[in-house]
Amino acid sequence: MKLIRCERGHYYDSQQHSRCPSCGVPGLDAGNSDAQMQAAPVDAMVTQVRGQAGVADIGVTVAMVRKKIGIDPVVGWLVCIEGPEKGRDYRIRSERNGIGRGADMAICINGDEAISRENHAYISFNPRKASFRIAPGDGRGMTYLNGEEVDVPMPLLAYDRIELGQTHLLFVPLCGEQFNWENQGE
Amino acid sequence: MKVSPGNASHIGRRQQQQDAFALSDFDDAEFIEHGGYLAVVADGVGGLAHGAEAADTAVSRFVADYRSKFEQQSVDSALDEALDHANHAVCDAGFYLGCPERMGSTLLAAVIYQGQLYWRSVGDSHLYLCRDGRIGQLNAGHNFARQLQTLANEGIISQQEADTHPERQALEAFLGLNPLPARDRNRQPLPLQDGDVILMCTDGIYAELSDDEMMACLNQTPMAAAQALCDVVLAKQQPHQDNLTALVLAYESKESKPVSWSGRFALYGVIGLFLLMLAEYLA
Repeated sequence: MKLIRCERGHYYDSQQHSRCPSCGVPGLDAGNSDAQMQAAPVDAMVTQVRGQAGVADIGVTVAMVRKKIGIDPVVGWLVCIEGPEKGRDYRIRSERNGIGRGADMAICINGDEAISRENHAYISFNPRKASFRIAPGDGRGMTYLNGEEVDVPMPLLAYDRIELGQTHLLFVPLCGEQFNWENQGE
Repeated sequence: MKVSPGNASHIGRRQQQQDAFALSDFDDAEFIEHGGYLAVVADGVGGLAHGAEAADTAVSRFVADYRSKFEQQSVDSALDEALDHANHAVCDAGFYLGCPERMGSTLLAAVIYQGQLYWRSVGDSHLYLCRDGRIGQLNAGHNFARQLQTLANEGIISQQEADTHPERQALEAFLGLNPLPARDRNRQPLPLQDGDVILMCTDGIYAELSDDEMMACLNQTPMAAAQALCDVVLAKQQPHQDNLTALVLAYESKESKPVSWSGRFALYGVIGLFLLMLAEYLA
């Protein structure tokens, strides 16, 4: 037996197989459906999710998703227009959002090594005033708002440019005078 | 010390392979020095969307993240970090595929480092230790059954209700939920003994096999053992056989030295020559 490890981390016996049997043949996706989820019925305590449109498998692993009490909806977005994650967007939620590389950050930009792991900067949304601010973080990294250094909290307006590390972000608000979640834009 | 890998996977009777697995490079001495041997298996949640993508994302992200650990970082912290990042990656993928919190995967990761076993588990993939001809499960699954049992123990529901509840197998924790509702780990690394075998498998394997049937497959090389586990399950020809994946890690505390032939040949040569000379002398 001569074990070979394929690039995806599977081992196989090269005396039996000329290529990795676990990887299969790419592009031969028989029966693979990109069907979207159907709305799931809501239970009092749990939401049962089963059955994917197009996949008629019985006894599939069933997931139980805790029904969230209350929601923490999006209030605006940051869009990466320059940098390693160009084209991605990040959701801003109510109150304070830390920006950093760490997975536990509210706004996680993990492709840019020049950004601090934790709290490089903060974006905050004040639900009472429906206004946004940007504040400097706890690390050494600098943050710029429209080219100006952020050393104290500053107000953020639509389409402001934020620069940190090698990343340029554009700010797009959702909540403000036109709309807020409390009165649903009435 | 030496760890030998074995793995086998099969789609079963399903339309899509939603199990994914990966092992680190077991010949990369430099990495083994500080990171040990890593094996990861994930089972996409089929009741949700994009199970296969979820499992693939979880495994590839976990392995890539653990591979990039720096030398001074402890195995525990690297595993925790990799788990967080893998979870984040699945959440992100769900978001981009238009099904946030509607895409998930179980994940089981084990590392053998300096003769000790470290593991992390979210969901219902099983981890077994096989030692001295006995097999024991090291982790508990995050099914609703666990909660039902707690309720039964407290006398809130009867044992029978707990045993027959239709949602017993429903998953309560899986990658793709932010924050993770639960994650299991061993608090202290488990010291391994020479000849120990670690088995990691998805529900497609353990749902069909008894402990004895599993044990019977494990007394051979890891690669053959993993294949045997799959073969035994498939031989049962269950009509709704789930995807099945088995990873087997065999641990040896001592490097077994290959027999040196050159030494033997030299010895035989000398004896042969001596006999030849003796024959000449006697003739």
